[in-house]
Amino acid sequence: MSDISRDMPRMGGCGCGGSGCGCSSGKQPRGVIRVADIGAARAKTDQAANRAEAARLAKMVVVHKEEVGDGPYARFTAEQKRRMREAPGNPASHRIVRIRRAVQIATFMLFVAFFLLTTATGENKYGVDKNFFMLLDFLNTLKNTIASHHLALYAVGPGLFILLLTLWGGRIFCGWICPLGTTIDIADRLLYRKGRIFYSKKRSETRRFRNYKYIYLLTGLGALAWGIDILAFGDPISLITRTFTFVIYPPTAFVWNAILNSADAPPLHIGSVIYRMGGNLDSLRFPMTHYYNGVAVMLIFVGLLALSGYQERFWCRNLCPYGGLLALISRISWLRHYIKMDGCIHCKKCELQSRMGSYENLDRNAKAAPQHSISECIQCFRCETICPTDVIQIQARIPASIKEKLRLAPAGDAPRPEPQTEIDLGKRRVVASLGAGILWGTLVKSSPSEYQGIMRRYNRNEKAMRPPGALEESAFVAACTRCAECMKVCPTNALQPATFEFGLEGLWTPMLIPSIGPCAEKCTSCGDVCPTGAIRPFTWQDKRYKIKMGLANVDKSTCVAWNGGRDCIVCAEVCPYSAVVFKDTFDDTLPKDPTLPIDHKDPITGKEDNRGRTKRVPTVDERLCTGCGLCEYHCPVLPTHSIVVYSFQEDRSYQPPKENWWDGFWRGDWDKRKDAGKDAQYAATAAELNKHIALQGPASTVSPGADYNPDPHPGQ
Amino acid sequence: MASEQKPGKPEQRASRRQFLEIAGGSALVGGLYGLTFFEHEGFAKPSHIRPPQKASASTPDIVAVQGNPATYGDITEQAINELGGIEQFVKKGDRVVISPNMGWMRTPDQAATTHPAVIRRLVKLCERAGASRITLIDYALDDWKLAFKICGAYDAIRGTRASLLSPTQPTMYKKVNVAAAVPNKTSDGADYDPRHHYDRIQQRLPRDIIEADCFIVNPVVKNHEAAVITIAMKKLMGCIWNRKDYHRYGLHPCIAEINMFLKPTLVVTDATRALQTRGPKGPGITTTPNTVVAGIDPVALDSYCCKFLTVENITPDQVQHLIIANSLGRGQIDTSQLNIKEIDGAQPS
Repeated sequence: MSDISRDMPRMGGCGCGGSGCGCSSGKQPRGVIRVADIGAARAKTDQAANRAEAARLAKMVVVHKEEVGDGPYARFTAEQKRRMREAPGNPASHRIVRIRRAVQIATFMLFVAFFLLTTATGENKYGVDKNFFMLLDFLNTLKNTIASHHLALYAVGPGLFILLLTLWGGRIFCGWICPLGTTIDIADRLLYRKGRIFYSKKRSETRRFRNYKYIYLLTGLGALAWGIDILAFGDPISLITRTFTFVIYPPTAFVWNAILNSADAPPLHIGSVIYRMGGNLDSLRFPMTHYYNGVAVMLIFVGLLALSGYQERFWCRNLCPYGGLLALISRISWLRHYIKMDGCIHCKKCELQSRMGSYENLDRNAKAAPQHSISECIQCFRCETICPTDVIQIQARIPASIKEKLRLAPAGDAPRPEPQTEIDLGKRRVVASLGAGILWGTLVKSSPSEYQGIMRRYNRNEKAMRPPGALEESAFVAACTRCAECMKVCPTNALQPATFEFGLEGLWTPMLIPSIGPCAEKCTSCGDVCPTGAIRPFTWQDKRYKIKMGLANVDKSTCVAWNGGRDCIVCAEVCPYSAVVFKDTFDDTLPKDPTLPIDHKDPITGKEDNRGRTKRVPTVDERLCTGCGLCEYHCPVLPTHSIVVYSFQEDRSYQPPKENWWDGFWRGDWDKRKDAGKDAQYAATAAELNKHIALQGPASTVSPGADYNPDPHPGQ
Repeated sequence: MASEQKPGKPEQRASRRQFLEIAGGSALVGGLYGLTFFEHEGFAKPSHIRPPQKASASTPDIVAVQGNPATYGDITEQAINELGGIEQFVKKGDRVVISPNMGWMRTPDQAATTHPAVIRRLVKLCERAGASRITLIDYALDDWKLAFKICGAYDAIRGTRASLLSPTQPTMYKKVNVAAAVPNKTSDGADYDPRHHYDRIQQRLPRDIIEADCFIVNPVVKNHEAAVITIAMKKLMGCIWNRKDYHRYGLHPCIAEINMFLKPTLVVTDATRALQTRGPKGPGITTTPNTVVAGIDPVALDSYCCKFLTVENITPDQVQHLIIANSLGRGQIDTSQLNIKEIDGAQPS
């Protein structure tokens, strides 16, 4: 009995002693019934009380023994078997695993660097052009082209690189580059060191959920035909960027700033001491960001990591749509696993410890070769590392079929890779998935909110405003991939993820909330970083003259100036477009000055002032207002401000400037200019603005157009 | 990693590690709980700003020097010299904060901002007196970098050790207790209800002002649509974070109260140009009194400077925050009781 127990292949433990193979566990996982346990249990249950249970357990042992089988393994002694199990495997592949791990860490650090560098640092400039990892995701580019008719030429190069890499080597992107995959691997090492929580030993379960990623991908592609993007929620790069923006960065900055704040606490005043020594502790602060919907995004992320307790890389195996797309492409890749069957001792290490569950032994008696599925494999090289008899070899060879066709080798002579398990997705499921997606799309398109979007080009919710440069509503929802880069880069935190303000299909798309932050006058960052062109690039002059995000409205019932006389002029003070104007208004509740003549004229304005019964109140000039929300942000009336920006008179007919050929082609490029005929209006707005604003100082001052830098220490 | 436990005494091997894990974990959790006290801002030390002092009893309360557009710098220096020289206010090694009006995208001739010549001479004087750090602070409502460039402040500090600062981030501020400086009774014995109260207005100041030794206010004379005038007293609203509550709880008492707390060492009012209408941003009617006024009492200076606002004929008794500050004992509103020295800057003093 005990001999059998030792010979049983152990799940989750590769015997490497944590040294090289990349496995996450060196111990027996919890929840697995070992045969030794069964023996112990039977010893206990020999008591008359549980005889039926003992009989059942004994039957399990017999079944188990049959299932394992001895096969060619039986010819070795127990000592030889032990040595084989604990053999370090192929030293060359150990080296490759180390390289793979280094590449993973390096690309992850690069991703974090790109993430941190996407900050607004200058007018029409930014830390990083676009997040490079968003461009590596060619599913993103694909759906962007299909759904929003925007061919982003800047994304074709990186996408083509990943496509060629996949054609050569399968899902190398998933195993070596993807920051979400690396995050899952890191979390695995931290969370599941002591074994997986509810790990299943049933081998059929590796196949159980495998097709969901194809179903998700096909459903999404079906919906894309109608311009409805449901793949954005599962797109791995969008998902991890969104998670970093909403879930990881804000709490980190919050705790770090709280630590710095504690240095100013009364007994020591460390911050004060540092300031008096010539430094400034505040320069170490992270800029704080705040977002709605962080909890929902966090729950998805945590759930995704928790599923790894059931199967390693559960997300990548079963759900990731980009992984599904790469899996379909990798069927014809060249980097294959060659298995020498005569050396295999059927130890099942490869099958049980494969990171993606890509090895399978479907033969009932386990005598046949384990089959390998290249579409499930992410080329992590673990199987080659742990194979005790070194029969698995991963080699890039010209496929035998091509060799034979080109007569490079006689038929049957070329080395053939391992037998492949087919993707077990029938025609019915393919059709059903695509059909479900198309049905989804038709339902969304025929819903009232979408009807409003098509017919009236704006949303029903009057407080739901889009960032400047946003496409028209239906095109915007189709193009936005919910990566939250625009919200990360927004220097005033004005862009927030929408919940249901734009309908269900507008979930987590950016929404401008002026009461949280205004749209800064000279900032163009959201248009610069948007990877899909849902927010078109614009200049600050475009924002001033051509774009309208909404219109400010004064609520006369709560406004301080309308009610309290001359006590507040903040909205007019802050408006950079001179759109808020204070005008004299007759108010018959004011006391009449009897000493004045009835046709008394105001000494300043020269108008009749009804014997002093006028007050100065804010009004909005709708030609000049762009809806930036600076007035709403600074309005002292709380919590509902007295001057509020609504999406009335929103104008998204803006035509983006195309400075470089790689800016790509937009949906409307082959139409005539949508803003044609508006040039006179733009010129009139510019002339009106220049009456109020001296943009150019006198000759002695420096030209102001140079750069916009939120770093508030210009001289230091 | 996978160290097998010896069957004999498993607890002893684990005990130290377990202790460290528990101790470290509880320290982490406790530390995170403790950090919630410092959620948004630290606690500031009381202000270092040196209280204003007259050089001698015979020193005038207010010095007004008139000049011409070519001598704005010179009359600034002359006005300060009449008060006893810059050394009276700025000591060697001081951290000096100057607060001029420079937060608007307006050219100097539109009179919404302090004249660059006045700023430059003031910075030069502070450098000459041995200031170790000079910071020019104004919380700009317009885009601050453009505003600093257009109003000329960027050029004014060129070649000096001074730096410009627009504290637009909340993290640059520290909480202060303004209510402690406000009396509950006016000088007449009437009750006074402070607007700064722990659950009404919590005020925050930039660290640079809290740590400063010398605080110089350098306003320009302007009409204000809401606060009637904006000169030295209203200028302090360009140095604080929580300005919204001032509009909600009444502008005038709040301005008077922040002046009770934050007492500038020196006030140099730039009346070389005065914005008469549509203040504080303009553009409006401007006049050129060509005068620089200096003193240490902002209430007295503002009362005196009302005479430059000739278009709307503003008198000090129309300005509520002057009256409240006077009744709280901050300064003298009645200019007839002050020792005022008016000089024509064309003649050598």
